[in-house]
Amino acid sequence: MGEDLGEKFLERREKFLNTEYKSSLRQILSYLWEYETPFLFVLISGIIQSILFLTFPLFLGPIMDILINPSELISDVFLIFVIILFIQMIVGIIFGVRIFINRVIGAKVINNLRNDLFSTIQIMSFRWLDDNKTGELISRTTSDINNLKEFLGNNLQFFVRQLTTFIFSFVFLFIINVQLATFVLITSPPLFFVLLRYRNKMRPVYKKSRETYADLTHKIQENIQGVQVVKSFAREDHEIKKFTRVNERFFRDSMKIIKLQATFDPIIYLIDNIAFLIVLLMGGFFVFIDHISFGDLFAFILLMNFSVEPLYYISRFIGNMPQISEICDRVTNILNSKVIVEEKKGALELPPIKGEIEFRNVYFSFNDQKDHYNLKDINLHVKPGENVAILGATGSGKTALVNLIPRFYDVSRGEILVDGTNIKDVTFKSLRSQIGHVSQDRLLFSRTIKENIAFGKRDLGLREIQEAAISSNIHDFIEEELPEKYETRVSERGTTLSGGEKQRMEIARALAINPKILILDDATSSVDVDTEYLIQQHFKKVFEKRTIFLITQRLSSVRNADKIVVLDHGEIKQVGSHEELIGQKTGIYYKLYSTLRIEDRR
Amino acid sequence: MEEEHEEKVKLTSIKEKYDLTLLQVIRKLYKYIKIKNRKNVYLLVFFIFLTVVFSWFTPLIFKILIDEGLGGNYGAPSGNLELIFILGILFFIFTVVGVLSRIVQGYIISKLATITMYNLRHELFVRFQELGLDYHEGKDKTAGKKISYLTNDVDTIQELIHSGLLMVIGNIFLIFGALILMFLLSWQLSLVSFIIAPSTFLVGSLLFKKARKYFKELRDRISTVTSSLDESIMGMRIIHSFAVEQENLSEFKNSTKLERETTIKAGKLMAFIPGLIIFVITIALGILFFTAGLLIREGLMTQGSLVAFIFYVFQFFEPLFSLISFFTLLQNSIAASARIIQILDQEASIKEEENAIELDGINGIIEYRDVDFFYEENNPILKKINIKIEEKERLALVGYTGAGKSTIIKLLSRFYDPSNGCIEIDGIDIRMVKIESLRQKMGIVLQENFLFSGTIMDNIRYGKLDASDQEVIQASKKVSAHDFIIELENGYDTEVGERGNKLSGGERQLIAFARALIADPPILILDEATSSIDPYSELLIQQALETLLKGRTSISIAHRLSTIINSDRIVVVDQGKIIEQGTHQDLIKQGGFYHHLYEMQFRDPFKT
Repeated sequence: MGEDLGEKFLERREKFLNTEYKSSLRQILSYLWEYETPFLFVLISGIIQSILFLTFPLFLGPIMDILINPSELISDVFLIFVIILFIQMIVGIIFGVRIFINRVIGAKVINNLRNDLFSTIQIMSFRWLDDNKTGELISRTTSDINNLKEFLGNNLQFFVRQLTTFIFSFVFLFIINVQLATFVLITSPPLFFVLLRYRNKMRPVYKKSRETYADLTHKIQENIQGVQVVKSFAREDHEIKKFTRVNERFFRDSMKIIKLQATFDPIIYLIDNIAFLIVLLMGGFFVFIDHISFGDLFAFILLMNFSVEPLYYISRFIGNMPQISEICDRVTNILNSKVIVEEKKGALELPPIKGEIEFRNVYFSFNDQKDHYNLKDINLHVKPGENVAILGATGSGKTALVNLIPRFYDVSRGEILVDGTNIKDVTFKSLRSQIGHVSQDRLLFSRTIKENIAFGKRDLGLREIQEAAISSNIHDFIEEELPEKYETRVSERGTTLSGGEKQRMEIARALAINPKILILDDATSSVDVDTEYLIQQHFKKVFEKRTIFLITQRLSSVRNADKIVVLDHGEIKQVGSHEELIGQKTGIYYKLYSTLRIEDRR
Repeated sequence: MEEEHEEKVKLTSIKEKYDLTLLQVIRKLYKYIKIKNRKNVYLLVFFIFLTVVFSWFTPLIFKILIDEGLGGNYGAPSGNLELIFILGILFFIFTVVGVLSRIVQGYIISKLATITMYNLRHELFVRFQELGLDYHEGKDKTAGKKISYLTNDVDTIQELIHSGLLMVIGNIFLIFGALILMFLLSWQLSLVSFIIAPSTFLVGSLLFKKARKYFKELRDRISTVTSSLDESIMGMRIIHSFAVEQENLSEFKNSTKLERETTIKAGKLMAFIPGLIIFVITIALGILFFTAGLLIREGLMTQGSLVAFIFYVFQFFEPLFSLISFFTLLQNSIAASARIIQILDQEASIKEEENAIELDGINGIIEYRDVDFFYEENNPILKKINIKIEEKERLALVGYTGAGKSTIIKLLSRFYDPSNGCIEIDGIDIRMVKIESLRQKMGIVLQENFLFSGTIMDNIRYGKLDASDQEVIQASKKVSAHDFIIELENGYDTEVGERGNKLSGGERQLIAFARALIADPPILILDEATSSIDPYSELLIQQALETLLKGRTSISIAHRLSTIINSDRIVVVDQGKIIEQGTHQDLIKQGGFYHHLYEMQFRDPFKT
């Protein structure tokens, strides 16, 4: 499935897997570096822009001096003003071009990064998906990417500009007046350190309060979702007590933040003001003794504002860096994941199959543990068109067994043959497109009913789609209950359909690809009795032409299978038809059957 | 899993409006917030005004400093060192007082906001506990929405208070003060600035209006990308199983391509705006300073006045902008507050009688007398239900989904009250009984065996809060849960995970049995899970169930044949009415509805 996923992606992936990066941040920055020239242009033009911008107050001083002194020629002002206007025009143009280029780079970088992340997730195997929670993955690809977008697209460049502004505003301050500038320079380090310290102190407190907030939300969520249990045990007071505890904890955490803010804010404010006070008094004195002009003092105070502001930003940027590193770590972790179940190089196309399956000495372990197998020594031969029912307690390995057939996982030992071909020798696409699989997920996509059924085979005609729907007994529902029939959009994640309807849609989706092998993993558990009966009646037609693997909770559905496989702790305990197994009086099947007394209750 | 995602989606799509004016909202909220310490509010108002007054006068110090202290106009340097010194000290005092008053202000406001948040959340939570299942199971009351009331909406209100519900007054005073003082300093310069400033804004706002269209488009595109991402990741296994990775990736790339194009399109416009704004502002400032210079030259204004004037310009616009952004926030908050108030004003439909009695030492005889139940009269859910259940009788309710079985059992624990008729336990109308004491007499095991995150021990103990560890283990043993529990990694201290998702359906059910058993209720109500349990677990559960039901009056909504057959009496419900009752054998013999149900469920579909 490789080459069409995007050559760039594979190129980068190759590079990532073979390069040792000093830090995850560098790896992420390599995306930016792909646009080296425009990025450098953005940085340099940003620096030039900041410097040019700072000349504005520098010119205002002389203008003021000329204006307020009647002995000066007023026409001189116009000249200076034209220069200012000219410079600001250049600033404006650079600004515009820079922002535009920056946006384009940003959009491209993020696009590449997100596509790569997505592509990586898509080539990963089931085991990897099992290990990484869906919610986590979603937040990686959305909120983490958004943060990186801010960082790569704005903050990094802004940081450079602010640093330039800070440095050059001081250069200009020194040009205007060395003594005054020295005073300002002295107050800067304390301000910067107080700011930095404040942010460092704040971070753990914030983090803790966010965690408490998560607890609080969790408590609320559980209470609301478990409201029936709460009510039936009359535990309202108990719940309120527990909630109050978390609520109070959050209150205390919030107050801690407030107190920190209340102490630091004024300190910062005070340092800021002291510098201003010194400049005003000293500067005033200098004007008084004619050491500098009033205009210079005026320009100086304006510039001073420009020099202090970047400090706030710089300290915030530095304070945020650990968080950015964390995000980079998480994202590169995904990007550098290794594929566990891989398609063989030069894998063959599996020709259309008849549906014969053979398990030969198959061992399987979810975590690759040698001493603990989830499936042990499985030997099973299924002829084309045979119906196999698999029975076993939760955790006995039923799902694992059927998931090996489409190669969702690889066997640890042994081999699986489809029509005599080892499934490891063929392409995923050619194998999986001939196997229909209905899982316990009950997930539909937010597109139309028609598109949902044709999910596995996009070019399907309406007639074939309808046939699939008829076979899974959902056609009538679609025609009669849905406003736009097959064109009805399934709203977000299929929420407008009931569990049973969703399940039948899923069965239709699997049938639509007309598979020779059909796997039904607990596929009819949430439909009601009558519907299940109807589906199974329809299944008779469907079942005849295909090899079927059926995992079900209902013993009554198992009876007519050609083969019943009884699994226990990963081992096949019994194989045979209902009649054969019921004859084995010491077997599990007989015990189940007789205890639940399916037969003699009639 | 599935439901969780549903909720996430709904969290973002809450759009309801209630008709409440701002004043009503504030008054009602104030009632619920219950701020005990009014002193803080007064203190806050005092400090806000202190800050305002000091802000008014600080620029004037600069004016005097420059004009008087430094000697006023050019060409006539005649300064006053003493005055400079005094003004310096004055400025220092102003600064210190300003800082102190800001500390106190910030602290009090944050504290008020936090207290509000705490109280509001508490009130809401308590109200949720008081409200009955009729509220919680209401159609538009999804868990997601309710969670969002308690989280997002409360946060919005906190933010509102924090960001300056009380600062508004201060800001308005600041703006007007600055305006007046500007005109007093120089009406000429004020006029010029008030002509220039709006025109700059006009240019800016025209451009932004255009940009907004693009931004809206961009937001839509981003949300398309996000939802397509969400869905793909959630459905990744399905995508794999149909081997449609290619198709999926190209669909995803299409959506990101659209987003990228819109970003760049918006970027073109955005590139234009800041440059133009800088340009316009430069011209505006040029005009302003030029005018100021001329005024000073003509002796119509002093240098000090110019400096002070510039400070007032800031004092005018800064609070103005914060007022504007505040009003946007206010609109959101009114919606949030209205939703919250609606809940707080809601009355619980099931109320305890004032002189309700304790239900003690009962035998467990239950009688439904002519019970009707409906939400709308012409659409009855239950009609004339009459059942008498004897002490220690096992009753099974059978029927289709939606026949009214669940309603029958919910009425018994007073999750709802009957519309007509009454229900008695040992001859006492349950409406005369204290709700807590009524529910303590009943063990309820529901279809969805919701477990709270925490350990297995905690979950079983939920049935009897003061149970000892030994009692918990005893109960587990009785329902044969003990064996599987001790096989788990941490035994009874194993965390069950969110909603108990680390356990299988059968295991969750056994724990729910133990939870019900430990409460040792004389009456047991059982709503069986349909079929999410494999035959192995069913074996286990069947035995556990026997233990649980022994010696108690019980009503089960039964799906499992084993439960049905072992019951003393089967009541068949269809469309809200009892249509058949009797033992299994009787009903089979009758060949009626039960017979049909039985056939459907247990007939082999492959035989014709």
